[in-house]
Amino acid sequence: MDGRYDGKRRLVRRTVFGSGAPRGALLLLLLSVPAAASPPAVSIGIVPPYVEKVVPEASEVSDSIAFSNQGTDPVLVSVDLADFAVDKAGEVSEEPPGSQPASLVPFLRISPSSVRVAPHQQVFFRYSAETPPAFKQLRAMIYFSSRPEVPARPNQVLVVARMGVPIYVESRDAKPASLRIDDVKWERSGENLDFLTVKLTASNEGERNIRPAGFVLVRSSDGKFDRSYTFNEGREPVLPGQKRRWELSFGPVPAGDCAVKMRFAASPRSSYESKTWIPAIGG
Amino acid sequence: MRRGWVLAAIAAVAVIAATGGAFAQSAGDSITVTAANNGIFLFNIVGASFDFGNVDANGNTSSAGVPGARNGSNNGAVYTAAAATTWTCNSAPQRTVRIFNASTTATVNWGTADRLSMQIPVTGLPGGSTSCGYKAFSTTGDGGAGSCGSGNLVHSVVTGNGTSGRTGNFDFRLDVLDTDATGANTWTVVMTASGA
Repeated sequence: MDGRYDGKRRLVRRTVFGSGAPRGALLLLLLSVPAAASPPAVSIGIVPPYVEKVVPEASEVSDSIAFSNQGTDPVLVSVDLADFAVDKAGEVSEEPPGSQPASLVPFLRISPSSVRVAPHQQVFFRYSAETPPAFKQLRAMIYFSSRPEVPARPNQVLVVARMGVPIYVESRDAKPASLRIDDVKWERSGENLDFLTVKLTASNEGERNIRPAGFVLVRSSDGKFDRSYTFNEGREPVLPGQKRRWELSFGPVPAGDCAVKMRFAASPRSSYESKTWIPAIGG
Repeated sequence: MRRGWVLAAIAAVAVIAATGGAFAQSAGDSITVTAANNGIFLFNIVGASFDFGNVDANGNTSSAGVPGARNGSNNGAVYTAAAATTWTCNSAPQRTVRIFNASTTATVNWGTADRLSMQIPVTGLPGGSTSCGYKAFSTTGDGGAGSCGSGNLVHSVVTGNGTSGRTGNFDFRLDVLDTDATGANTWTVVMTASGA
């Protein structure tokens, strides 16, 4: 099995089919695959979308990031590093490399720094970091810039996709994350007030990231409506020392009285839980 | 005979399903963003380049078919390419992304560097997304400020997988003055998408 498309077809013929009719059935199945929409010129997939590693101090950590080009054009991929910060709303701001106290950039190496990736090809970028003797959390953004190879034409605008993958290296000795919930407010929202929105502010008093996962349970007073929603479905982080503000909506929910139970991880060993009564619309 | 065809089809499906995993690292595979695989960042750009073609200061349609219009001040022309290309961003897990211009390079043989400007309109994007309007190309990257300062194009775009994938347009505008001896230019626009 060599992993090539031709190899796949040979394997299918050799092991299963012997007559023309089965080959026709297989052909029909294979033809149905390209019937989907044609791929874009640039289609980049990166796995994982973020990296979090917990290591001892003064140690080395290494792994790889997979980069796939599913577009129709070959791309020349180059890597650059930057520091970053995250604001209360969860938006990332890019900072010059090495400018932040928690910068991982001085300790981080990526290989290769540039490579040509053909359509439908996947490559792996190897990263390694040698951590200093004392640290709590170091972080950096690894940017992958994909420059398409296209023929030059008059007054041409070339579009380069640059994708940032955050990498966090945390010390095993760092204090675990601990969320302090500063404020929680529930209200009905949406044009028909058929959604519930929670406005929540929390601070991470620990020295490591936390991506609080949990659920929101909404139950009507008559018991006919009973539904669970995922809290922080995107597993967005609260960084050490960060104050984070969430505004999450759940629904649709009924117009009558509802009981809302919310529970999510506030640290590796504890959860935050609240119960709220939402009155009926006009009630 | 009919039974043979049915069995063959079932067998074909079974074989394709069974061999799928073995091709996970092979060329030609696709990666599907689902909640189950929970960990990928996708960025698509339909057109990797946009060609204005040969233009002039009178606003005649360019050689590439881009319509031009004479400036209101009667000095040069403006060529506008709305939805010149389209971008799509998917992420599992969901993340808040911004797209901004970090470009600093261009080959400008006529006029000045900031003749090209661009914007990402919020049409089709979820509420809360903010377009920063047309930004001149010569504006350097905004450093991720998250506002409409400097070269920002659009921010507060919350993107996830499936129906939470986001698609937007990229509008380009090219200014030509009467004093320009128009020829060939190239611009490289870097669209940065990042989250925490």
